Amino acid sequence: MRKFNSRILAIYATILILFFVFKSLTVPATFGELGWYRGDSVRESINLSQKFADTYQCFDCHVDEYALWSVGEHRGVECESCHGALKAHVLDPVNYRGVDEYLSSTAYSSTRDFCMSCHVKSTSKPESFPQITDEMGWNCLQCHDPHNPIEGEW
Amino acid sequence: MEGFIYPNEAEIGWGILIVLYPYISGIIAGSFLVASLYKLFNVDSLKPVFRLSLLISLAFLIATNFPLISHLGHPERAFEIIITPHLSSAMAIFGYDAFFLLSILLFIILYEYRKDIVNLATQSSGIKGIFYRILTLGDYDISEKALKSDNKLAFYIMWVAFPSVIFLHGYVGFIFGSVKANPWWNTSLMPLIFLFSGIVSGMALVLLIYVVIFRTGRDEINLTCFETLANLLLFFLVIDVALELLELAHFMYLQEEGIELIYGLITDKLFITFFILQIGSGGIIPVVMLVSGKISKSMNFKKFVYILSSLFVLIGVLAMRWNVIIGGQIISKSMRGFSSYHLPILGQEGLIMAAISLVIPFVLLGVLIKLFPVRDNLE
Amino acid sequence: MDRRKFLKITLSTIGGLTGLKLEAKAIKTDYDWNEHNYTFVVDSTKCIGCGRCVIACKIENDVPLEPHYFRTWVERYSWYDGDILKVDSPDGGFYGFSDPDPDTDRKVKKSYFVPKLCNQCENPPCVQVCPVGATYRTPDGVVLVDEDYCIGCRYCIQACPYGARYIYPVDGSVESRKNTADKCTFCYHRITKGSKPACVVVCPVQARRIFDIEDAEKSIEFHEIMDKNRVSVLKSELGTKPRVFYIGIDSEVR
Repeated sequence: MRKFNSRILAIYATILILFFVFKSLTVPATFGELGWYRGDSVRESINLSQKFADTYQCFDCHVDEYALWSVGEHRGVECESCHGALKAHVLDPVNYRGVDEYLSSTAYSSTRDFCMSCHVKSTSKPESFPQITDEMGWNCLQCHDPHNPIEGEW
Repeated sequence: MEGFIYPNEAEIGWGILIVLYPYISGIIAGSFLVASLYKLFNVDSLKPVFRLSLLISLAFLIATNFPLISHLGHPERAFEIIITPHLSSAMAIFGYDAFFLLSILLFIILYEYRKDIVNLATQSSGIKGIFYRILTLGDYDISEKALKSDNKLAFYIMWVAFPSVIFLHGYVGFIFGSVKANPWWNTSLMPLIFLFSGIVSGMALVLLIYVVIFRTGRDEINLTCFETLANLLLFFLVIDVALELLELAHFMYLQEEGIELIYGLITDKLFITFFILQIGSGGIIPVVMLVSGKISKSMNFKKFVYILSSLFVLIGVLAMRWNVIIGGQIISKSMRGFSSYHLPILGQEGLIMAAISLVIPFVLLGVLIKLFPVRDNLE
Repeated sequence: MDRRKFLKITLSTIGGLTGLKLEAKAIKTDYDWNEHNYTFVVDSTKCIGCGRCVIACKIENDVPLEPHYFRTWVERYSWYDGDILKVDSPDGGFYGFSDPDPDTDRKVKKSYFVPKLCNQCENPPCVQVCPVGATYRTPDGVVLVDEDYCIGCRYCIQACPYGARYIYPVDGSVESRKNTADKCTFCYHRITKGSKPACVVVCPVQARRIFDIEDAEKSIEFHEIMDKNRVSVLKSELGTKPRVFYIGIDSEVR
């Protein structure tokens, strides 16, 4: 073969070899282990930190509230729906009593506004859902225990 | 924002840089086709622009990487696309084809220019001399036999390169055409439309640069070559306009979901860029001009009309890229509204980055022409 | 070239060709994804548009609170006299839907809320178009994104027909996610530990429910729902095979 051609081939072969060397050095360790992706990514996704706890964990301590809640109309509403993300509190009840910036009652200008965030009358809500248009502006807590809103003795 | 859009659609993901990337890579298709027509299909009248079109292809192929990598969220991870390409993704296939094409294009140019490189290696001094000497790869044989063998090899490699180039720009169209979620993009005609508009823009650019380079050197342009380029431009332009109008007719005939959105898009949001720039300036007007140039007997009129049509085509094809990419993103996938695109001046996808992306291929071309002379085409 | 150099180059070439890795550090986990299969049911007849799911998701998954990034959001569909349909989603439903209906000049004929999230499609177009393998579908039915591998090319965001994906912004709180694609993961980090996704936890009316149909009990529950209700998926004509099933939505819902 002519010198030039053999050198062109040599260059091409070198580029290919360099490419494979580069590839073996840069492809992440667990890539391809489970599919066309980095295997570690699944494990990392599993091990992300949680902010919300599970409702049953609240009742280890908050027994009275459980007694009210479990028989009332709000028994379909999990604790954290009104009290915010509280996994940190479950893990360290004494030191962490964090109140959620957006999900708890303090996020609203008044308790009434908090109740209305679910219960305000709207044509888009299902008919069977309790909705109120109270123009008097009363504070709901004057009559309703949030843990047992209808039957609870407040 | 008009009507209803999904909340996540408020932000447009692909901006001006992604408008420019198929524009720059489309030019490769056109210029390489010109080169292939000469070398592979014996269109001898194109000989004067053969070398120029090879260099244009190389310059634009290298330059197409700039908008592509700079628009990424993590450009430092861009190499992942060649070490772990996900083969079901058109983007990954494009990446490989582009790199493959780059390598063989370099070899084609080396083979084509070997005689000049050897001569320049022995004649030049300093850094330039070293550069040419490296390119000779130590082989200074420019005998008849060697040059004939070079010619044959360049011929064979070009036969591999030619389908790769067609594939390359077809794939760019496929990147958009295969997105079933988007009613403006989802059509099987998309690869063809991108391919033919790319070819047309490339040929127009070859014509313009040919005129610029040879006139500035006070040489006369070869009129047969000039005429052939204009004829080719007309030929492919007619096909391109037909395909674009066909696609539009297809949408309007099928009346599938999202058709009201598309009507709103082309009659209101994209009216200027679609009807005036893409179809008008990029299609019908240059066709009329080129035909009138063909019919005319006056050389001056021909020159004027061919050059002007090429400019119009280049603007029209850029408008086409804009319409597809920006247009496709401002319609909401909820089929109920439009978002809006604002082109910033600064920033990752700003006007300045866009301007740089457009300047880079011409700078590269200038460097390549200085290093690899294009006027020396008489054997 | 001497023998040692030649050997080194050959070995690394072979290594590169066969894909051998240098070291494999595996994070140990005892979750077996072959024993789980998740589906999701959204009951639009129950949703009250309170927006707690939107808030909870943003808290749980560090999604930026800025308006237009959502892993999940709530839309409202309102039909008016004269066959007019209006769809809106103010801030994705984050603050609820404070106004009674979007068009106070006309009379509402029918109106309801449609919570949206990633459909975790069985045939996901987003996975198909990813050029580097940064997004994938797990055998238990969740489509995840590898934030350390994603190059931010935005192709998956274009390909998703449901608008479920977005690019995590530069000013977001999670450093490693910046400029990468992000989306609902069914709170993978919660369901693999036996908890429920944040949006399911806080929904006061159980409009959002997740089922692991490999679990015998949950499978019965799920199939009861499927048998007793008129169930649909979004954009079924696209062939994505979504795994989020909707009860009580009209054909106009996209």
